[in-house]
Amino acid sequence: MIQFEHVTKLFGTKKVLDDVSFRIERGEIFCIVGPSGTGKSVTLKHMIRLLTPTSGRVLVDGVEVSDATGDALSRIRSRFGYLFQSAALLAWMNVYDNVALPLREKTKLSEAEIRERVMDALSKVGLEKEVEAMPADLSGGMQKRAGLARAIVTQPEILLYDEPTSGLDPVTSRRIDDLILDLSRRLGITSVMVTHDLHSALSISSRIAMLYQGRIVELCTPREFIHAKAPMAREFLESQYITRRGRWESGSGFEPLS
Amino acid sequence: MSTSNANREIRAELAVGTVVALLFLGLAFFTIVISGKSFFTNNVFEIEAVLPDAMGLRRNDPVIAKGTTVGTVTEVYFAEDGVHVSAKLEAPVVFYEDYTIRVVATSILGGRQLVLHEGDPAKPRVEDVHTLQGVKSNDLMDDLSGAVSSLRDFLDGPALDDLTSFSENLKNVGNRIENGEGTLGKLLSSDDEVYTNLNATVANLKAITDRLEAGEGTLGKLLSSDDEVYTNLNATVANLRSMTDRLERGEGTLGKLLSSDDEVYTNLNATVANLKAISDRLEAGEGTLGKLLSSDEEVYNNLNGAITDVREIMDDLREANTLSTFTSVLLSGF
Amino acid sequence: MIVREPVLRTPPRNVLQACGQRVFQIIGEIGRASMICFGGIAQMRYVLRKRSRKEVVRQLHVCAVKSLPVVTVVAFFIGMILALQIGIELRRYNQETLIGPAVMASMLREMGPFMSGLVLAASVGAAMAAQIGTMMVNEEIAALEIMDINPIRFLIMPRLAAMALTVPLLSFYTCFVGLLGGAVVSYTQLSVPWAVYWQNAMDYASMKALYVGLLKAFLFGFTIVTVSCYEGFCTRNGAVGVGQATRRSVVTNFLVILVIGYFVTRLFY
Repeated sequence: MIQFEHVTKLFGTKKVLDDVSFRIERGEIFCIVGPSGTGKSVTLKHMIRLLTPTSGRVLVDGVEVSDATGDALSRIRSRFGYLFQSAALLAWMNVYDNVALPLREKTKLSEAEIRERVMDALSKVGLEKEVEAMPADLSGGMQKRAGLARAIVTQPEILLYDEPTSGLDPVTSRRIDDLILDLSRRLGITSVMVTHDLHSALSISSRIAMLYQGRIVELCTPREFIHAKAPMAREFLESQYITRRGRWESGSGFEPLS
Repeated sequence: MSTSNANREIRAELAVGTVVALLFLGLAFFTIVISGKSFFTNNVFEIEAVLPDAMGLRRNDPVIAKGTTVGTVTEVYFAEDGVHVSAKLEAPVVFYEDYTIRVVATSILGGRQLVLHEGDPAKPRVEDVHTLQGVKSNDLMDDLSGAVSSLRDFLDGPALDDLTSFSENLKNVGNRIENGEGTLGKLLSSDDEVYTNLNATVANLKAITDRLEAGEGTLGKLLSSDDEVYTNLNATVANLRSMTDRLERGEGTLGKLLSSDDEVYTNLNATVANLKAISDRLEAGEGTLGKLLSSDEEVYNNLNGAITDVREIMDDLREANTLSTFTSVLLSGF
Repeated sequence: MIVREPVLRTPPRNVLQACGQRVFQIIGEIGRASMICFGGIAQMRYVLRKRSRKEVVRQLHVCAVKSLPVVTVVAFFIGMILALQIGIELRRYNQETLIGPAVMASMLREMGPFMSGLVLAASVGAAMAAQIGTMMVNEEIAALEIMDINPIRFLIMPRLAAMALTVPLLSFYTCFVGLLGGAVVSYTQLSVPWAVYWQNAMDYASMKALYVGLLKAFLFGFTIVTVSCYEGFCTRNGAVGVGQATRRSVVTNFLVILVIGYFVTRLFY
């Protein structure tokens, strides 16, 4: 469904993506993991032409995104939902209006239908009590959930998540994971997720790609990823206390000297 | 290539930017560099005149013909034969042989304009409009100060003395008549001829003093810096003086009457009362002549009033011009 | 597209190339700003649509109502300063009664649109640049574009409409308040009676001055929004970038207002 062909991206002289090629199939939950600054978000932004590759191609269902303009681009973009790292809610609108915005702007639904869909999306992310709140009054996690509600309210085919669980408490993080899983299972939505959080990546993704310094160093299923050989992948796994046996083994914690 | 979109966008922006920038540059060129030129007037033609004195005429000062602005001064430069002034005219001004070109002040505060008088259409037409000859023009301030100084000369000069001595002589005559000196009693009885003569003299005097008092004509002419009136007035007064001098000396009809002739005495006897009444009124300072004769103050005051009038006219002029000059000074910045 | 990658240029080899690059950059910037402005004008066809109406009204409130106090104070003092300065000068010629016309003319022709333009550029314009800059930094604009909501229609058009309406109105209001300030100074400092002041001022007021002033203000409305939003859209580098964008927007707006003011005046007088 989404295909990267030898995508290289330069910011000035700095190579952010270096000959990246992969293919995401319909219905997948595709996770891109890796340390900060390795080009995870850049990869995601290429899919909806917020960035264009310096060389190589990005295709969505065979259509080249990086060359699309005008209506073609609008059509491609309308298939996507995008959850930004910063949630990107409009500061002067309350949560309800923010979530309702894409429906009001792009569809001809009546206010009652909009309300139904907005409340549905908000209850999915657990924000049905905060409809009147302004984004600035919400915590970072709540903002992110509101952003997710806005991304799913248009019922897109493909959802792109940029760090959906960072800054969230573990319970909410798992709720978000469940939601992503649920959306993919029930509606067949293709999800692409960029994250540091290996726990959620390993628990819900169908495949994991690890980026390191602009290159894909691992591209495999979660089960294979735990046993990855590449030193960067190992380091990354162990930093989150995940061993080859797939569980947390540090055990002892810190015992202060008495 | 995938960056072609971005390049296309940048090219479009460059194109729009170029158009907008050129638009503004053109606007700047037309408004700043070649300011003062009008874009859409077709029948523009140039004249050039040599003036003896430019009097501070500057570029972009208006050119006036028949009281309307017909163009602007484009260049003023100094040369051996005078100051060359070029002007662009937007109206078809035709010059005839007795044309005049002069620089005129638009207000007391400053500002000049070039005034063209086309001349008499009956005269032959001037073809070469690049060698026009200007005339030395009157400065408004000079004119006004000239008028004021000639008035002052009049007050300080011999004219006033003449008037004074004339009135004194007349007083003497009246005194002698009253005292019955000579044969005037007889004279007053009946001589219509003499009476009419006297009457005419009085009328003449009255006319002169009326004119003085009213300031009508005379002062206006004084303002136009014409010395003629002044000299005329002076001469008139001098004549009056010599006439009364002759009366005193016993010359002429009235002089002889003052000496001794009984025949006339009887003839004039009947009218003596009339003349006495007249002289009484003169003495009392009644009537215009009386007032003129009664004291120098009056004449002085009247003249003074006339000068005040002139000053008021000047003030009016200044007031009217201040508005336009001031506002033009203030608002030309905007 | 509003959201775009930074255009990277090869570092210039010599001064000439640097100058050339700069010229191209400036022309490109002018072009992009003009296209934003023209795009906003083109989107005006939606100004009365239901989905835009609310935002236009909101912007009108922000632009007009909220800047009313500062405009009032500025206009009042400008009027007082004008009357005082002109009055001192006119007193030398005993023409204090002409303060009214002088204040009227300068307010109508220049000071009204000029001062309201400057005040709005410094307040509303800076706020716009900062807001849009923040939206840019927070990827809100990118979010709009991904939702296929045209930022020009969604953000620029309501602001353009609101400012194009507001600046002429505030300009007229500035003239009025300025005249009032002039009248107060004339009455208290220069002992010109109210009636004389107003009578003279009204006698001198001309329709042409008013219309040219309003046209000027109308154009200022467009340029303030264009410049501020353009600078906002060019914001990078987080909070520092927002600060820079705000500063640049105010500086550029002042320059543009001066230049446009001159050209419009020159074209009509």
